[in-house]
Amino acid sequence: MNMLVCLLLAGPAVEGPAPAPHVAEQGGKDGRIHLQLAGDAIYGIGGQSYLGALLRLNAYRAMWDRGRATGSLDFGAQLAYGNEPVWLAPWLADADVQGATHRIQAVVTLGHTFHLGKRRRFSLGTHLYAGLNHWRSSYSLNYPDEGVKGRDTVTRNLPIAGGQFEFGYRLHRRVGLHAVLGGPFPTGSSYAITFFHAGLGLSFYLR
Amino acid sequence: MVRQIEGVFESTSHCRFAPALLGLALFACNEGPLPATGVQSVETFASAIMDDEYVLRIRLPPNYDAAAPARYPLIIQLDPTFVGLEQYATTVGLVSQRAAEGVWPEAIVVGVDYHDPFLRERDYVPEEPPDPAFAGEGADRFHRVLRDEVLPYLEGEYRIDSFRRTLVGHSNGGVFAWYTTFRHAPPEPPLFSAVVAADAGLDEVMFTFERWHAARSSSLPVRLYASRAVYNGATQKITFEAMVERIRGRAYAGLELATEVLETDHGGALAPSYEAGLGFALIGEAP
Repeated sequence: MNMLVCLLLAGPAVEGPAPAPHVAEQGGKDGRIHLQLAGDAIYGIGGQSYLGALLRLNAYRAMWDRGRATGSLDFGAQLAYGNEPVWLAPWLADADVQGATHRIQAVVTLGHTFHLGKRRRFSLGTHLYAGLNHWRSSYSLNYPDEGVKGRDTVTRNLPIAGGQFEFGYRLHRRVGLHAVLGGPFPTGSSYAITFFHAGLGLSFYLR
Repeated sequence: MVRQIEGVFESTSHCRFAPALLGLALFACNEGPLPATGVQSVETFASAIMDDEYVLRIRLPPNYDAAAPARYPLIIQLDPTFVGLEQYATTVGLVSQRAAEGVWPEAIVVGVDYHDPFLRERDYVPEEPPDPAFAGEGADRFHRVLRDEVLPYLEGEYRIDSFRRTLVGHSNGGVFAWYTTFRHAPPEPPLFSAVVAADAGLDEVMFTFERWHAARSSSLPVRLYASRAVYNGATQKITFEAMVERIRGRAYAGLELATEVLETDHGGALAPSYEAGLGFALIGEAP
């Protein structure tokens, strides 16, 4: 992991100033396709509260530039995992129930980002996404006073589509802070695909 | 005690958004309830037991005549308007359609609603630990409201056959429906002769109520329809199967039990459960 971070921070070993791995700080359309990797710890609500992680690889290109703002067209892929543990469900706190609901979402994203400020350090992105949601409810239960005991797993795969906002602040040429807020478009199975997610993490400017 | 606040209503049949909470659907979008027949009205009902008002949504059959000798089955609908699921409208539409076809008998449908439908949480869920005297709050108290206030009022006001009462609920409404089933205390007749419990989450306390009933009586003269949505999770599957196995094993005298597992999600279980459950409750039609 340390090696990966060092590699990301080091950049290519070439003579002269290397091109910025993000939209040009002075603005303008540089014609380059940039790559950004973001990782966030997330909280959300599905059937109950869940915790998880989100990883997103985004390719983007500056499309317009005006004053202190540059706009980019973004395309990416996103993988998220969420876990609903029993300890986050107060109504199960006293029950002899063990297990969790797991959720994996793999989606592609498309959207636009504003890169703002004198050096384009702030970013505000709006993205739509679509893909697949895998839901797995796996629990064991024991009510000894009632002679009820069992273990079971239920799974379901569902298409998913939604939207999210992403906020960023570039701390360094290669690293920035990242926040995300989003959720799928509601359906009758929102408890399986989640109602929303919010997260905080880091961005790595790769190219 | 009772004040009529509105007159006749039309049924709806379009998609609509709904505020969502508590793991239910954020929005429900389907073909909507079937068209309603008869006359619908809304009344407020002041409960002394609860020290609060309920909203009674009442559907009377076409050609209902308060002076005629005919009496109708009564269907009590829980969660009539909760989070836009249109449960009352669904049941009214089903009864209207099937009765018009001559398949089901006509029935009076009453949705016991709230000014704030989220008050269901106060009423439907049993207290924990449960009170063997059923003198607690939660479901114990709401059962008293129905038994001692709402049903006597309705049966004094409308032409209702008190031996043909059906209670219909989904989710926590289904939890209360299960609870009411196990509140039967012979030699009194059950409060509801038929119960439709759709995709309810059965906690340990419900097994306790069942065990207490088994200790009181070997009979349970109720027509009980219970359903489970496949995609409501593993704990619901475990407890539903355990409960069905347990009550089948008791071989209660008088119990007519129909169960159904539906390949759908929690919200999707509502309409098919009500259609099958009401068919079973009203005419004994197997799901």
